[in-house]
Amino acid sequence: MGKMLQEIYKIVTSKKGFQGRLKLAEITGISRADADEIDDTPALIEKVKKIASDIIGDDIEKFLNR
Amino acid sequence: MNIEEDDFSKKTSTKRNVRGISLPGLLNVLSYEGKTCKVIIKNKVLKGELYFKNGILVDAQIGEKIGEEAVCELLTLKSPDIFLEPFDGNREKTIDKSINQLLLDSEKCIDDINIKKTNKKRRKEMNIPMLKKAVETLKSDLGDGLLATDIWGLDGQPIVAFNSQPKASALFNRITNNINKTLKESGFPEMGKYYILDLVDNHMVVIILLGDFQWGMLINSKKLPLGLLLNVAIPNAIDAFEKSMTS
Repeated sequence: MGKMLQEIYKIVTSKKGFQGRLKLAEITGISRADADEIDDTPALIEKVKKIASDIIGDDIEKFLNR
Repeated sequence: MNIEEDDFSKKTSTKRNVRGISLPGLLNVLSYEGKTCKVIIKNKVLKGELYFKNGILVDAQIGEKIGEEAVCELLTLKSPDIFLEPFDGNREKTIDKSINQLLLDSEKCIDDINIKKTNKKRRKEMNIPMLKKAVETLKSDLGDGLLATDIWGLDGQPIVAFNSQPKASALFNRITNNINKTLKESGFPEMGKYYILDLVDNHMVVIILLGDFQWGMLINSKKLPLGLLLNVAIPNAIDAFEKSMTS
């Protein structure tokens, strides 16, 4: 569960440090620990991807597809 | 700029409402034109005055604040109503700086005030008991190796701590800002998750960057392997901190 969310968290942390990770948690209301538990539905993933892209200033898809 | 007669006009004074110009812009005009007048600035809550004599700002007042401090406060008022009134020039001088210098100084002052306001707001949003729990988690992971720790906001004021070092918090806050500035001006990538300083006598300082917050810790490195700190204690601490933001 939450595999994609974990991956998004990993990328945001790598690109923007804990500052980026905390911003993602703050905006989405989902902490990284919660991301392990939560069902990553397509709608939720799209929403988180968009926020993550805004935070890293780049399209997160580029890094997810690697 | 539009200065029009106002209904508040009294027999002895002509009060004029100023529209279409910012307060800094108006101050520059009054200075350039060498005007002698009183500028009244007010919003729904606060009211203050600026006194110009021959284009020189001689005094300012808002609430209990006077002089340059009052100028700064007045410049932070959002969308205030501005009025001009006659002034006889008879006022004790409390300001020595030029308008240009005051406006330059006020930018920093306004930044400081905004940081304080943001910090106050962010503190209200943080779950303080959860933050305390995060510190407890760190203490439990690091044991005797943790000598002191503080979590502080943008103004460098500690929010929660163990064996608090407020002076260090304020100073390390400044160091972090300087490092950020240096990296930016050098064209280097921005800082990542944390920085570590190796100190003599088996000590080290770790500063974790958490957006509007920073988490500093003084550690006895003899009692604590770096691997445990980086791979266990810090990730656990961050998880706990994050919980305080989302809970």
